[in-house]
Amino acid sequence: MNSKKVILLGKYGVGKTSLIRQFMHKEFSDAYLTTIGVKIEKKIVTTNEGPLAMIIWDIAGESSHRKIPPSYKLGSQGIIYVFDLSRLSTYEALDRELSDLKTLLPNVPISLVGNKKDLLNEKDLDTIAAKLPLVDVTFISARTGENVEKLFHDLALAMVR
Amino acid sequence: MNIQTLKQSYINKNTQFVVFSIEGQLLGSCDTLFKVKMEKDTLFEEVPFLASMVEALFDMAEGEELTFPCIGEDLYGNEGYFDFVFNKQKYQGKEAMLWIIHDFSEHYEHLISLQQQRNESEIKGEFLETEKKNIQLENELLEYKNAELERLQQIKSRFFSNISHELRTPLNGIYGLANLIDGTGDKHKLKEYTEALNATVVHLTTMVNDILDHSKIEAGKITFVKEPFDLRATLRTVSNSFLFACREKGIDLQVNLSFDLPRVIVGDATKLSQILYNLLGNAVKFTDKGSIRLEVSLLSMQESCTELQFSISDTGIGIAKEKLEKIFAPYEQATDHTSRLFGGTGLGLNIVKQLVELQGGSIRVDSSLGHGTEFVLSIRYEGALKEKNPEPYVSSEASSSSDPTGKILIGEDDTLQQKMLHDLLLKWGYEVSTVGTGKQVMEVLANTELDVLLLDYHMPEMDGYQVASAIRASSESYAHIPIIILTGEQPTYTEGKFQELNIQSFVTKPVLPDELHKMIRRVLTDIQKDRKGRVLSMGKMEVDLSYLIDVMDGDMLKIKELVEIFLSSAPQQISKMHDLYDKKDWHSLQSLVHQSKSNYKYIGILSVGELLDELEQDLKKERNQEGYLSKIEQVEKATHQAVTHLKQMRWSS
Ligand SMILES: Nc1nc2c(ncn2[C@@H]2O[C@H](COP(=O)(O)OP(=O)(O)OP(=O)(O)O)[C@@H](O)[C@H]2O)c(=O)[nH]1
Ligand SMILES: [Mg+2]
Repeated sequence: MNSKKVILLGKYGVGKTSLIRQFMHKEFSDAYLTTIGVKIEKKIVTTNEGPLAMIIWDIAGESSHRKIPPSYKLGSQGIIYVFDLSRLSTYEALDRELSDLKTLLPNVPISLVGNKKDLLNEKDLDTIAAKLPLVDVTFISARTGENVEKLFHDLALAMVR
Repeated sequence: MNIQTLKQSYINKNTQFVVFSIEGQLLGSCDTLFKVKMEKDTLFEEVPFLASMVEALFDMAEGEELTFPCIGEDLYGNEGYFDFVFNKQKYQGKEAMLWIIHDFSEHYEHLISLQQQRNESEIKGEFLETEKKNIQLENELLEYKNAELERLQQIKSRFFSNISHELRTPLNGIYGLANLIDGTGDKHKLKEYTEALNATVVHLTTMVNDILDHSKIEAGKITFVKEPFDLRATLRTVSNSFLFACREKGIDLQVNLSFDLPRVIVGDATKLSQILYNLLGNAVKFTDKGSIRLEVSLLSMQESCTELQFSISDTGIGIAKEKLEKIFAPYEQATDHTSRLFGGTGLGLNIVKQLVELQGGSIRVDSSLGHGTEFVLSIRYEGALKEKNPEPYVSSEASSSSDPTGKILIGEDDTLQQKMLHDLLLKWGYEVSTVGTGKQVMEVLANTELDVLLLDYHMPEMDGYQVASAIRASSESYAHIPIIILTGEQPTYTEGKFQELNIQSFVTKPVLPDELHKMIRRVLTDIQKDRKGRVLSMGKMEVDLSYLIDVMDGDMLKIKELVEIFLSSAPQQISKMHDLYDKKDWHSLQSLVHQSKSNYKYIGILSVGELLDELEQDLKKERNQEGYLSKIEQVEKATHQAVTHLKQMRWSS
């Protein structure tokens, strides 16, 4: 079976682990248990090209991807960059992070997601959206599951294309 | 046991070696940590980590080494944290991958709590930081709001202390005047006091209304009606009410309404009046010389929306630049010098602004100290009815209602000049008719009562001189009509020629409107003076008001009242005369005749007076009984004529 390596990046506490848990098991917990190193999970999804094994690397959050061992990023075929909509510090340096990643992993699709949408109202979201770099951003909630399925599905399509 | 074996056994128990081919076939494993099973075709399918690294591992050069620290994965039921090392090398003569697995679970699990602590405290720190910033912002906002509130409060309390002073002044006045009225028996004084009382009450009412309006607006309780109203009539009413004040101050009030204004618009006429009263009132208050102008024009007109622009400008004292900014703010004005000087609440302009804005409009002010002020505002009305033949309404102080009025005939052959004169006179408020020849002039004079004749010197058939001569030579009532000659010649030449014709004035062409207007006013004023003692002839009968005019000191209004009493009583008296005649009650008839006789004399219908004199003598002496009826009938006829004539009289002061 075709398999693809997907890495999750983003600062600690933004909800990477929660996002994967929601995607894998439709579960959510309010407790914060930090990830160390990397946790590897596998989920098979169906695409128009047949089934695809997504090997998901839930990497421990750091303030910048530069602090992560380079071998983790090696051979990645998809990137999900997660930030926390309720914490400015998690999306302040997006521009630099994204352009770094593009140089490091050219031609790899990147999904930029703002998590914890459930904590904000529409007006605040608009204000935040105005501050973000001009790229596609998906607002999701690992808590409610909003846009989670879609996020992985879209990335899977982008990877097999 | 030597140190080497100790080391070996220690490392041994936490480390596993696995060797697999590039295709993923298992070539060997020491199975220290887990037992490698090959249930699937390749090792890549067995271990997700390997599946995700296939390509990267393929790409490694021989002898190259790759390290992956702290991998959390379930390896054949053995869950933990491992470090992976990959080393590409030959194994049993074939290209192969050595995969070294170190189990560091214990070590890493210890790290978790450290990292957890670090992350949690950093996140907490971040939140505290944001919170601090928010609180700081909130505090700043609060401080600002407090300062603003305090400022408003101060202004408000200053305003109220001023306003209560302003209110107390007229109240004291009312109290004082009421006492004076109570204590005086002098009619003259009484009138004076009540007038003053009236004015004070009006002033007080204005202030109270301002305060009520203001609080209504502040509470959002003001409503606007949407009713059709006559725009011109509303504007005229407002501007007319300032004519007197302007004349008193010797300033000109000009009203200019553009041609395309709709006749009827839908909206709140009262609110519009209120706005204009306020702004015009201010203009009059602050202007001592020059003029005040109200201009109204159409900004846009669509089916459901008509936008009008009003401009109120004056040549008054103007407003200083620094005050201009605050001019619409409530409370502020009442505290400054100007309003101290002129009184009032100082809320007026704020109310105006609110009224304008609540009607979808805007207002701005432009002023230059010492030169004057202009307010320009726009209001949106819902709908409008357009006038078919719009007539410009231009008014100036000169056409005020108390100016002399009159019927004027224009004799002028040139159509353009005819039209121009016609429009001018109409604009000034006169009744005007025009004819083109001298012959027509004579015809109109014979059939219409006129006050002034405006006569062109050069006319076909009969020229101005011939017409004027014919008029003066006639024995008709129009023989004395005032004539103004319009001439292109040097006046000296023409005047000489007209000398004996008693021509009132000469106007040189091209006509200067102001000059002509002045002249007509003068002539009309003269006529009115002449009326004192003027005898109105009606065939054989004459009405001579000179007695009344003398007695009433020329007060035409009072004279009019008396004439009206006569008009209503005379016919009754005559029918009573008939009654008494039928009853042959000569005694009562005699006293009735005596009584009414003097009425006729007062009013100046002398011929009837004489007739009644005769009748009275006859009755007294009981003679000429057969002539009683014919005399009563003569009186009746003459009275009828006089009544008709008096009813047609135009009364002006
Ligand atoms: N309200 C809300 N809370 C969320 C959401 N996603 C995650 N969280 C909470 O955020 C905290 C951090 O979530 P994790 O998923 O552990 O975050 P992480 O990105 O994996 O963090 P690291 O592993 O330390 O990098 C937890 O307390 C979650 O319950 C979300 O969508 N809404
Ligand atoms: Mg995590």
